[in-house]
Amino acid sequence: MPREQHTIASLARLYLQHASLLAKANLARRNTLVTISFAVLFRELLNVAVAWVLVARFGTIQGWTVDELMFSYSFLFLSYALVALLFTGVRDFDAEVSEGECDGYLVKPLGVLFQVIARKADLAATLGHGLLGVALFVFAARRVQVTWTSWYVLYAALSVLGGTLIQASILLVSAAISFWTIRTTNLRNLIFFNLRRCAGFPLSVYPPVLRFLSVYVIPFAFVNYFPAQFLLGKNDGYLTPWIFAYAAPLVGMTMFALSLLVWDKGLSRYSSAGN
Amino acid sequence: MRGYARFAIIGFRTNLAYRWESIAGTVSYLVSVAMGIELWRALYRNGGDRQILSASELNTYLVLTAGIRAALTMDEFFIEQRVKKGTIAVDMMRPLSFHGMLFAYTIGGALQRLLTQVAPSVVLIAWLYGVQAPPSLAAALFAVLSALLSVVLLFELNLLVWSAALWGHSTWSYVTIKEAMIQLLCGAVVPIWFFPTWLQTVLALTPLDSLVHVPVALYLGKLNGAGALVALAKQAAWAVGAMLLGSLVCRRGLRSAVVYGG
Repeated sequence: MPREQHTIASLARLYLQHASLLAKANLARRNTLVTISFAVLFRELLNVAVAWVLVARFGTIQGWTVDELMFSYSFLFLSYALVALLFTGVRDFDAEVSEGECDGYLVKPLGVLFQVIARKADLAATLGHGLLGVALFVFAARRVQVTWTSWYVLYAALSVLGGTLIQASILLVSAAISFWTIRTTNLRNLIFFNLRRCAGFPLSVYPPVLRFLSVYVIPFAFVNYFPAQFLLGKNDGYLTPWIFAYAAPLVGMTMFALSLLVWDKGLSRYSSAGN
Repeated sequence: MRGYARFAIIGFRTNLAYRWESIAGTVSYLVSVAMGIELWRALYRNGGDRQILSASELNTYLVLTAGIRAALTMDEFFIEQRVKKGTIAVDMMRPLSFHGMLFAYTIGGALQRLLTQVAPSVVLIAWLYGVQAPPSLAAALFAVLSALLSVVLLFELNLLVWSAALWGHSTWSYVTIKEAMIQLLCGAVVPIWFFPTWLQTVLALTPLDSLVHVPVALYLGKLNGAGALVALAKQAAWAVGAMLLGSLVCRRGLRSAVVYGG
C-alpha cells in the first residue's frame, strides 16, 4: 500500500490534533466526565483503604509499614493513569476488530498503531487513577525513609514510564492476538486486573507460582514492587537479584519492543487475509 | 407464575451461553479467593488476631463470603440497556410485574452461578485450604435461611440504584460506587469484626452487614441462640422494607420512563 511519508513533527502535529478533538468531546460532556472520574477514584480509594485498614491493624505486612505500602501503591496508580491516557485505544482494540471498525484504519495513509493510539483516551480513568496516585505519592513520599537525590527522582520518573510501557505491552499483545480473530478480552482482564491487585502487596506475601508469574511472565512486579523496594532500600523476604530493581525502566522498553513485533506480525496476517 | 419461571430459565441460560466468560469468571474467583487467603496468612504470620477468628475460621469466612459474593453477581445494566434500546416498552406491556420479572431473571442467574461456578470452586478451595463444618445443624439451617434473605435484600438494594436508569440517568458511576461500598462494607474482604468499633456500630444500623457477614457468622456459630434470631429478624425486616421501597420506586420509574426509538 502506498503510504505518505510522515516526519516525527507531522505525526506529533496529528497526535495533538487528535488530542484536542478528544479533549473537546470530553469537555462537551463535562458532567459525565466528572461523575465517572469520581466513581473510579472512589472505587480505587476503597481498595487502598482496605489495604490500609488491614495493615494498620496488624502493624506491618512482611516488614512493610502502611506508609511504605502506600508508596508502592502510588506507582500502580500513576502508571495506570498514563496507560489510560495513552493506550486506551490498544486496551479496547479487540472490540473494534470484532465490530469491523479496524478496517477503516487500513485505508488511511497513516500507521495503524498510530491511529489506534491517537484516537482514544480514557480521561476519566486518567483523572481517577492519576489524582489518587499523586495524592498517595505526595503523602507517602514524605513519610517513608527516602533521601530524594536527583538520581532517585529520575529513577522514580523512569519507573513510572517503564511501568506504563509494561502494561501497554500486555495490552498490545492481547490486541494483536485479536488479529487471529481470537477474543481474549476476558482472559486478558482476568490476568491483568488480578495481577494488578496482587501487585498492591509485597511479592513476598504470595506463594511461589504467583511470584514467578509476576516477575517473569507478566512482570507486574516491575511496575511498583521492585521500584518501591529499590527506593525504600528494602531487603524483602523475597530475594531476587538486586539488579532487578535497577532494571525496572528497561524491562518496560524491552517488552514494548517485543510486543510491537507481535503486533506487526498480527497486522500483516490480518491485511493479507483480506476482506 | 409460569411467566416468571420462564424469565428465571432465561436468567439461568443467559450466562451459560457465554461459556468462556463463565470459565474466566470461575478462574478469576478462584484466584481472588486464593490471593485473599494468602494475604491473610501473611498477616497472621505476624501474630494475627486469633481471639477474634482462628486461622481455620478465617479460611472458612473468606471462602464463604467470596462464594456468596460470586453467586450474587447480578446483571447491573439490565434496566439501563432496556431503556436505551427501548425494549422496556415491551416489558411494560407484559402481563407480569416488571419487578417480579427482573427478580425471577436474577434468581435464575444466581442459581446458574451457584451451580456451575461457585460450588465447584468452593469444593476446590475447601480441599486446598480447609473449610470448617458448621458447629451444629441449627447453625447450618440458619446460614442457609440467611443466605436466601441476602439474595432478596441485595436484589432490592440493587434495584434502587438500577432504577435511576428509568429516569434517564446513566448508571455506570452509581453502580461502581455502590459495588465498591458493598465490597468493602459487607465484610467480604475484611471481616467486620476487624473493623474499628465505631464502624461496626454504624454498620449494625445499616442493611450492609446483613448481606454477607450475617450468613457466614451464623455458619461459623459466631452468632447463635437469641443473637442468631435477632440477626435473622433484622435481615428479614430489611428485606421486606427494601422490597416495598423497591416496588414503589420501580412503579414510579416505569411511569416516568421515556423511551425513544421504535
